[in-house]
Amino acid sequence: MSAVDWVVLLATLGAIVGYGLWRTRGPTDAAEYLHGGYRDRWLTIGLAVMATQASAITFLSMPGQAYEDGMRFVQFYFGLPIAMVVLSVAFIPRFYRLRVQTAYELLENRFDLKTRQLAALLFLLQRGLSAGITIYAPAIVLSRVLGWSLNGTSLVIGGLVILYTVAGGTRAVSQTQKHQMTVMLGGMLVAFLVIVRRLPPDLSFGHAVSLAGALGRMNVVDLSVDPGNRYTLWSGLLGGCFLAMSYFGTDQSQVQRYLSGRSVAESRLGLLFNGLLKVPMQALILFVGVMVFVFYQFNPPPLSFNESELQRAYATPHAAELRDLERAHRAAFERKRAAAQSFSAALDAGDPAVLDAARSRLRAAAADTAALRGQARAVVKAALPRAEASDADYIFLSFVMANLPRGVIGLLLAVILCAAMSSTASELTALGGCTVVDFYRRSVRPNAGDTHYLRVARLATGGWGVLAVVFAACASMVDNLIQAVNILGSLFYGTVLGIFLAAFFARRLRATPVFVAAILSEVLVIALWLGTHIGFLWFNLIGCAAVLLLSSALNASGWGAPRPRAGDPST
Amino acid sequence: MRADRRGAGPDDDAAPPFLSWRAIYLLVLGALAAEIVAGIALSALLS
Repeated sequence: MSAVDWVVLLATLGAIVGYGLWRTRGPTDAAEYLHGGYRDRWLTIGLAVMATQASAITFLSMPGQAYEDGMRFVQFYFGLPIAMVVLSVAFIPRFYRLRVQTAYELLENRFDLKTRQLAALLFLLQRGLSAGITIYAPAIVLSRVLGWSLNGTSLVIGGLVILYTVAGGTRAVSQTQKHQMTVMLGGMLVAFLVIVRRLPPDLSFGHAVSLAGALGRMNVVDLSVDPGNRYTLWSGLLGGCFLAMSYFGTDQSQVQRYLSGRSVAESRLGLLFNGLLKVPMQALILFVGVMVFVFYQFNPPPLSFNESELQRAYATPHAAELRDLERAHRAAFERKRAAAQSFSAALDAGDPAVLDAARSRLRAAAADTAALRGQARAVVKAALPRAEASDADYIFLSFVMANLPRGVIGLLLAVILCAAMSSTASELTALGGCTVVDFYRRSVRPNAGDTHYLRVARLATGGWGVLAVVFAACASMVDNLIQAVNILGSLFYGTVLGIFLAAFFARRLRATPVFVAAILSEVLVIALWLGTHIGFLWFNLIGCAAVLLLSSALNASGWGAPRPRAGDPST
Repeated sequence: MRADRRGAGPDDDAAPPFLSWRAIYLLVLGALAAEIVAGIALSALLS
């Protein structure tokens, strides 16, 4: 990496963290620390909500996912705007009316302490694990591609975040996220423009999009109804809506962002701003990946984008096999490039028969190179049994390092690190806040002074940060990082959402049936995940529906009803 | 620790600063509908 890139990277990160610390120095009480004094305006809330969700995994994994699988992942976000409207109407006014500090506090008001602490525990479990992945994911990719130390990278990301979250609390997080989000959006826009300029001069933008479409990368909407198909319009609208309702309505890392608003209106507008911008933003990130795919139709891609793993495989007895595959891959690429050029010329000619023939040749050539990449993956796996099966998470960063100009590389590394820091910061403040408000203050020391709670909140936030860094150091790689985080979320979110919907809309349900139904539903979801091939988005719907149905059945059977006392008129 | 929010109660400070809530909700959902229609059209035209 050049000196210019280091300057851009360090100046961007230093300026954001320094500004955040300077603007928010010294919170004086626990409420200020946990909720920033309830001063945030809608734009700050909206950007903080978006920055919390957009982790480094988003920027590393999604372009690679589009490269391999096309645009269809965008359907995952179609339910989000609907969820933002539902939360604005049903959730935010209730949170404000009860003046809660965590989402789970509301459950004690409606049900009882055990239901509140069950939901809070599910949050701590799920989010505590995710915080480790949020740090680990960019650390492993950055360390492999740039040669940085894995644990050192985790430590730098985690250490910086712990520094400003422990010092400044929620307000420091919101202030830094506003600028981090601006860098992320600006950086991806710059990346998009630079990539389009790097396409062959005789290939128009329209032809580039048509080429991507011919190779199945412009599959934005899939109308099929196969429940095993992960990303369809229906799973996106239904499963995605339930996932977004659960995530934004019951996950404290998001609830804490909009409860820091100065009014119901500011919180609502912040969420709706997210609802308006989320789908276009994710579509842009995926489209960057599609353009990288088009770039590699005219420029030779490596056999595997995880080059460090490939080099390690070359040091094994499988080297000769890999050399043969490299040669075959290079020849297949040349045939594909010629087919892509013919396809572009056929688009200009406008003859449908010629275009169909060119499209068929292009698809056949693309299938050949894809098969060779698949064989290479299998050989690497045979050579290094513990190696990652997929190189999708390495595609974007590998492209950036090899092809983008100096300065832009530093900017995009800043985008990835900003994303890692912004989502981790929200997670840590939420984990610390939930630990103090839902457990420590409620069940361990209910009557301590404010200074004590402020100190414990800082300790808890820092403690979760250290745990996340330790977890990141111990974690092992999974096939696709963004899917791992979303699958983990989907296993727990449906159950928690079911508890909240029962609290809001089922007035006759008693606490114990809901508590028991929540535990049974969680067992059911985990069993389905282990024993079936149902797409993970559906778990949000299944978990939620199971809580509502089971709690209704238990409630109707009289489970948990107060026992009539002797002498009551009804006995 | 439980700090009061400054200013009016939740029902008093819920008015949007522009348009009406219904119009803002329709804007968000309308944008989603337009994006889905554009996605279906792109998928059909370019596949």
